[in-house]
Amino acid sequence: MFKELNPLLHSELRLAIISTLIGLESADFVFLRKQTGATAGNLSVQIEKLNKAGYIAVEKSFKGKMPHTTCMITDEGRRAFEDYVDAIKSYIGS
Amino acid sequence: MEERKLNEAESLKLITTMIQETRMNLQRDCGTPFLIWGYATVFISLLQASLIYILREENILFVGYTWFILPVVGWIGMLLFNRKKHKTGARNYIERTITGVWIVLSISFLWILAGNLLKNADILYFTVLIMGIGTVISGIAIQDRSTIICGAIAMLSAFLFPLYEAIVFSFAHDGSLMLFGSEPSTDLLKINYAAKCIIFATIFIVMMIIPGHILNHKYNRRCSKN
Repeated sequence: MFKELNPLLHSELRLAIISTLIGLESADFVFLRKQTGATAGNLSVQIEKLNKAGYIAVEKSFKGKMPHTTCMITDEGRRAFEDYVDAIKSYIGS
Repeated sequence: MEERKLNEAESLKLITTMIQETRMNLQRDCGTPFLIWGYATVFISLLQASLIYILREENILFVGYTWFILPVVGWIGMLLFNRKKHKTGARNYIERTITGVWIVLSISFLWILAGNLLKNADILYFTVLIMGIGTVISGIAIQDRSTIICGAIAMLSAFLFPLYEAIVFSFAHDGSLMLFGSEPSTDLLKINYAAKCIIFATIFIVMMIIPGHILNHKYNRRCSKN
């Protein structure tokens, strides 16, 4: 029986963001942009979607005069990622 | 990278790649703290072994105070390194664990220093043992065999200090203490102190400088390939 794939995670950029954050305590916007190779605008939109879903927490602050965005995966995001990996395995294994 | 749907195989490949790349990027320069503390300790040990011969006898007691240069040099080096490291913009749990372990061990080191001032506890033996434990734990956390082996060798080498003392110190028939089989003269005490500093420096080369270079070489080469 195939498990349903979470549509929020079944997108290249959002999955890349979550996969990066899964092994980290936190990562800032610059690090995520470097890791994913995405444009700043697109990355902002996807971070916002994941934040609204409660999968990641976003902290906005200032480093000197520059705005600084830090992202952390939440427990809900971690569970969603684990469920997504389980679902993927069910497809690959069949 | 765009917002496009992936097939299942692509998803799994993307997850694996992102996790591996993140890990690799954070492992860059992970041997540098070992090098900072390793080189600082070797330098201070060799400085002490030299000063014992250079300084006049009435000033020899000041040789021991050069140990206080070590935390100053080490922490300045670590501050500069951390400033550079935090520019990467990410923090991981392993890094936090290792930092915690070394903070606890540094506090233990201060207790040893206090014990040494109060009663002549063997500071070199305990320092090597504690730093060896820290190196082994760090090696386990970052899953690096060479770091674990070098740390374990250092832990075992700590025993060289009591062994050395058992060999060079003995008692004469009248119960007086002998050094290298003779009455302890200033020259023999100097040789004894310098020898212990050299053993200490050698252990730190094995415990920190060798794994530090191995780690930097291994991970920086992997990172530049990606």
